[in-house]
Amino acid sequence: MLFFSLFKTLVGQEVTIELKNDLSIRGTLKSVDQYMNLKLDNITTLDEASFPHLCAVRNIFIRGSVVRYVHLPVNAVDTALLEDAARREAMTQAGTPVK
Amino acid sequence: MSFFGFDDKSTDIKDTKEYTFDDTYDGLGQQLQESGDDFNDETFGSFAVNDVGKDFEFGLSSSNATDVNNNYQQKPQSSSQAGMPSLQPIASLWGAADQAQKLGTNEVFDNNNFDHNNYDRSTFELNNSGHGNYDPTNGTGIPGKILSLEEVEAQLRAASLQQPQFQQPLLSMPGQFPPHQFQQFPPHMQFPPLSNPNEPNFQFPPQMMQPPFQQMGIPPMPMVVNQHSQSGQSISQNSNGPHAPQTPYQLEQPNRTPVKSLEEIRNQDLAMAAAEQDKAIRKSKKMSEISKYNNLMNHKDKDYVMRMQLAQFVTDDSYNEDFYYRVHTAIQSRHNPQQSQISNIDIAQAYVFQQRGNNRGNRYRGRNDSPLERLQQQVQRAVAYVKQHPKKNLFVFEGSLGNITTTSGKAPRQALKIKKPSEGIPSLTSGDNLSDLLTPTEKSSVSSPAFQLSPESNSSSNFNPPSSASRNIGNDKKGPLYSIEKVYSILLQLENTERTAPQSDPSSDEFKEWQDKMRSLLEELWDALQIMVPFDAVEGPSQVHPFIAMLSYNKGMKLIPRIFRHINKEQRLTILTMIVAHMSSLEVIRQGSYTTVENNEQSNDLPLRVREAIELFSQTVLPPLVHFISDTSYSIVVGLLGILMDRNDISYIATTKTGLAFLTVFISRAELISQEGNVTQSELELWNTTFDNLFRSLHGHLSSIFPSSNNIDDSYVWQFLASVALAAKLEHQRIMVDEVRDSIFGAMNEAKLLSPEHSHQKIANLNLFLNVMGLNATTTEISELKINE
Repeated sequence: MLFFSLFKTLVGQEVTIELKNDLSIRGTLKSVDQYMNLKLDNITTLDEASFPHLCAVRNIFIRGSVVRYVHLPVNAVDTALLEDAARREAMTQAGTPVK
Repeated sequence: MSFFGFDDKSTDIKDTKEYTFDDTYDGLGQQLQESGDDFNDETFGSFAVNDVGKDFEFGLSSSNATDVNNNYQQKPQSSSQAGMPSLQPIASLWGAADQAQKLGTNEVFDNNNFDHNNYDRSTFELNNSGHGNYDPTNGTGIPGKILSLEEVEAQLRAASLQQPQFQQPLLSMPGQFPPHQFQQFPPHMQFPPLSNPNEPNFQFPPQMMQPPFQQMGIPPMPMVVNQHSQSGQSISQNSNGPHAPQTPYQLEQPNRTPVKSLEEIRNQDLAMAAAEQDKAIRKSKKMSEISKYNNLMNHKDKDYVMRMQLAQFVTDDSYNEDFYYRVHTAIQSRHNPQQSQISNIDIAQAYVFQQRGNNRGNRYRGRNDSPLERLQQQVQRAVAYVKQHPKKNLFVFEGSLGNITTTSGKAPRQALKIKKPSEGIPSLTSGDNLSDLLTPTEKSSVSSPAFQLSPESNSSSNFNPPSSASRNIGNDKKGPLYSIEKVYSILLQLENTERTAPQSDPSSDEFKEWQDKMRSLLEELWDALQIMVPFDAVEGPSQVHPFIAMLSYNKGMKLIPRIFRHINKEQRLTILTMIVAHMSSLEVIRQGSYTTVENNEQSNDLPLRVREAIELFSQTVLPPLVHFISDTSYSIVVGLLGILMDRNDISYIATTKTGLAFLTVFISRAELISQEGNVTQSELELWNTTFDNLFRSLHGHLSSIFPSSNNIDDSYVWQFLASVALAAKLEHQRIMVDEVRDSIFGAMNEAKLLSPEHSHQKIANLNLFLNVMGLNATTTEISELKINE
């Protein structure tokens, strides 16, 4: 659940979601759950010419399974901490959690 | 009148003039047993009203009234009329919320009916604005505009004077209707009840009776009596009628602002209100569309869903399962102290805050405890429940053909299953020859990336196949990476233990236990650093000491500052000595020399990867070391410099940024201490000898310490030269200037071509060195410093 832990800290940040159907949506992350379902607010489509029907859409719910990439805001991610969190998770999965 | 749900779009006023109520009335009311309806609203709530169809066509008779009552347009018009429509969405909200809460207060029902009836009425108002023969204020249940009894009576009297022909209807049912409401009905409507006094309301379908009743409250009894005395008619049946007992509510007399009674104002109001009303209508239509799904889930259902959702999030080991979020939040709150500290169940809190934003905060309205507290309790219960009932991951029902796998939020179904080495290949160690052990199919899977993931991803805790030093130092390229990860895992344990230090008294057993744990972890950490591995074991042409090898990787460099926090002074010195002694083995030194770049004509700078490594080294490894050096004693500094010169090729090290940084720090520190004067003569002599040796090593190479390109920032070189010049004797300085003369003039010439600020910077760097020798440079000349001053 490392990604969930990470995404929770990104709530309120501007992210770009790239979907598996090549649609890219940029907006403020409102919430995320453990399936990586995402709620975005104030969205814009990066390719508005191709998806004009999305011009009028302000907020959106994205099912986690259709997400291909999430572009994270660099400044909002603490990579050193993320490395540690990944190590902890690996240790937990290996049966020797940090205690 | 429009309260009663008539739709006047469907009626043609001109055509319906000749109709009378009796003609149009379908007689349904007579078939109803209306007695005992008086408390329907209390008994069944507003639903009783809502369920009754609105198909009753009342427009005909009302339009009749419209024509009859044209003089009625002068009737007092409430200024609240314009404000009315805007209330409708709110009212429907109330309706929705109240239905959900099933609150049984009369006020709620009033609001409910208020909503529906207002909706119809506003339709009417729009279409009938020309007639304006109604008084919407009668229908308003707006609190706070209660007229006193005297005022009401005064209005009644005024109305009765204006429209004497309405005396009859006004008085016919005083118990149920406020006078003005009633006046709108044509006279013939009111007579049927009198003809059948035992069923006073029979001529009105229920939805007609109840809404105005609820909206307006009931005129107080005294008023009824007054009306009686005024008119001199006996309507005792009605005054004792079904609604009479509700007198307690009657004080909520429908509000009516004082009389304005100007048609212009009214029309203006109407016109202004029209647009708003139209909007409000559409909005309330939408609201009623939505609100039909209200109450699909009751409060218990919602609680259950919330509990199930929370159970997915809740953990009693949040530092392992939600480490990133916890620490990140803690760091953030440290940076923004106004944010509240995270509590134990911060997940739930974070979750609740989100939820609270969504439900407009009215879900728990009227409860004493805060929603947060309630949810925390709920979370605790959920945690307890989850603990008591560990989830089975696989259900096999007897007789069924398949399995039902349940995945949880914490362990979702894996799209990719990676075989653990222990399952597939027993006793696989890094040294074993894989291909010998594997069957052909397994061999093919070895080449797949998924399989290759396995040693790192699954055995991360015991990624110490190179547990013995000899293996580590062997050819295994992954050796340093394993070592680094091992150090990290111990470091994480150590930091976690440090975080959970017992608050109790240092002499207690608990504390001693904790101290022991810390100590053993520190020992483990020190062992894992492999710093004490004798270098003899590593001898070989390209061999590197295991500790130094770790520093070849970025994550290995990042270890140093974190380790320095925990280890003692001797251990720090050991690390420093190790680094100094093996400096030329360091990756940043080996690849960081500009002398190797010069042959490359395409790019004069080092490869990006190397530059980044050098930058990282000076950001992570150097600061703790420099800090240590600046605290250390004279003899140690001089000793370390001696080791550096003994074990390394100074002329090469000096061509690297990192090497120069070390030299600069050592020389400046030693020179600083010797200038302070707290040094013995023998120590000073040792320093002078060491420095002479150093200078001899550098002699003839000083021109090569500059970066290969003019575009690279060379301030560190001038800093180094300045520190050397500071410690150097006069003849040394002369040699230095001779050697770097080209660079000095090169820098000056360059500065001429640059923009003023860059030029200034370049000269400033140059002067770092020249000022030490009492010289000062401008873009054009070098002069003695004193003259310029």
